[in-house]
Amino acid sequence: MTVAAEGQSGRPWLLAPPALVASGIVKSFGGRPVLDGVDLEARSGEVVGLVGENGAGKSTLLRICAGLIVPDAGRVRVSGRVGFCPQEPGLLDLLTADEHLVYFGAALGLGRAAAVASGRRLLEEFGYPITEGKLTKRLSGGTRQKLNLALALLGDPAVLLLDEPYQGFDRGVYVNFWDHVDAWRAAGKAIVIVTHMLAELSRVDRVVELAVAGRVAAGAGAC
Amino acid sequence: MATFLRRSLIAAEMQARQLLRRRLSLIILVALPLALYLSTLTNGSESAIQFGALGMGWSVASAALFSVLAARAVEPRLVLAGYRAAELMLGRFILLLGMGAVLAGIGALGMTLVSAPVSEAALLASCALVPVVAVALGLAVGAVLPHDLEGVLVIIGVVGVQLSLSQNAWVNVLLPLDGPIQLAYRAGGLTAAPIGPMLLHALISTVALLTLAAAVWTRKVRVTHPRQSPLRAPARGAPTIRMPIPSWRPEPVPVRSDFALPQRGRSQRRP
Repeated sequence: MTVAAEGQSGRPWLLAPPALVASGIVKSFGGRPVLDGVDLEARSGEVVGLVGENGAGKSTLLRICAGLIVPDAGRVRVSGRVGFCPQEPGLLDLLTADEHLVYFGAALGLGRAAAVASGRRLLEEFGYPITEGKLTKRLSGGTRQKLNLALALLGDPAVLLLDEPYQGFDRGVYVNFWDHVDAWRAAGKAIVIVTHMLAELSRVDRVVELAVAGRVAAGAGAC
Repeated sequence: MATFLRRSLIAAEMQARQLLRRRLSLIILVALPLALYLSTLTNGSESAIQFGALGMGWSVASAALFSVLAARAVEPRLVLAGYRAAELMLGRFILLLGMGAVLAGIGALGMTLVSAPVSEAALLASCALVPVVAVALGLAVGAVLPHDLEGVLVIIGVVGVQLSLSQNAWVNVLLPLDGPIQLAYRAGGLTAAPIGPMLLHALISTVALLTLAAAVWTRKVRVTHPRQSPLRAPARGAPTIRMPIPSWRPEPVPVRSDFALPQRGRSQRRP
């Protein structure tokens, strides 16, 4: 038997199928429990804000959802491709931005020209038009983060997992980032954002708070 | 297959670009075996060949180790993007073998000219096999050990023990580089043992180390859930329970720096 939710105006994502379902996630590191039976769900066209204190397990939960960490118990199901933007930019210092785009683009079946064109378009939207062949290690922290985010968005993933993706952004780009989030939502992406920027929670559809020891403390909508 | 090869070559190209930009490292990669070889020439050119070969192995194994360690943070993300771990491994193997072949070519030419080996074939075989086994050694150590310090110490240990052992010590057979090093002994005229077991030793060491590296690395960079696991919307005509939308409305979130997180203790309410 299928269970469906009836939507209402202003919450179109309630009718959408779930794109990410994590249920009963348990994870310990060295005997210390980090996540204890956590559930998380995101539907297409929904933005979920994941908040909590330091050490509450937000990044761990996101990495489990991305499939990069194996949970001790629980299950993750995703529909469509996952784009993951880690908190620490996972970049190669001795490659240029264009080379990163080619490297990641090949994984998605994109040719060199297509990968570079697509990636440059994203980077221009974030205010980093590539005009030089600087190595990544010579880029500023904010610019590295823009590249980090562009790599997560390359290939138009259906599920976006963003772990504080705006670290180092200047104010203009930061405000612009949330406009992009609105656009990604409108495009039907399921988005989970780990954030400490509580002032911006009004721009997400649902807030999930993780308490220390990794239990879901509260969920609230913020439409 | 074409996609597999194309991605592997892209991975090899990107790793080559990184390596070529480390100019100082490249100089040291060549200087290390050269220094070992030249410093031992004074003891007799026969034994210098084995030191030169071992120096090449040391350089190549270290390069392989650091190529694995440098990619540790990025490769899980590349696998999530769509690469297979095997494609990344093959790309790295191709690059390191190419680099090792260049080093071996320089070494073989130099030692042939300077040391006038008793068996040139054995020298060529040694120089050809040292990079192959050393790449496998570096990849295995990089995959198994979590940090660079441990990896470097293990490689120094393997090379150091090989350096300190006499040619006929039984422990030699346990060391991965022993096959090509025994070939270097033969090239210098220090042994007349048959080449077959030396080649077999190199083959077994390479296969064993590559298998270990592939098994461990694939596990480390794997993505643990299916990438495409359809979660379907209710099919038309399927029996459906209609769930009412919860009546609660979220409190507006104030745009204030002292905004407190939602109170704990409430159960999560889902729409």
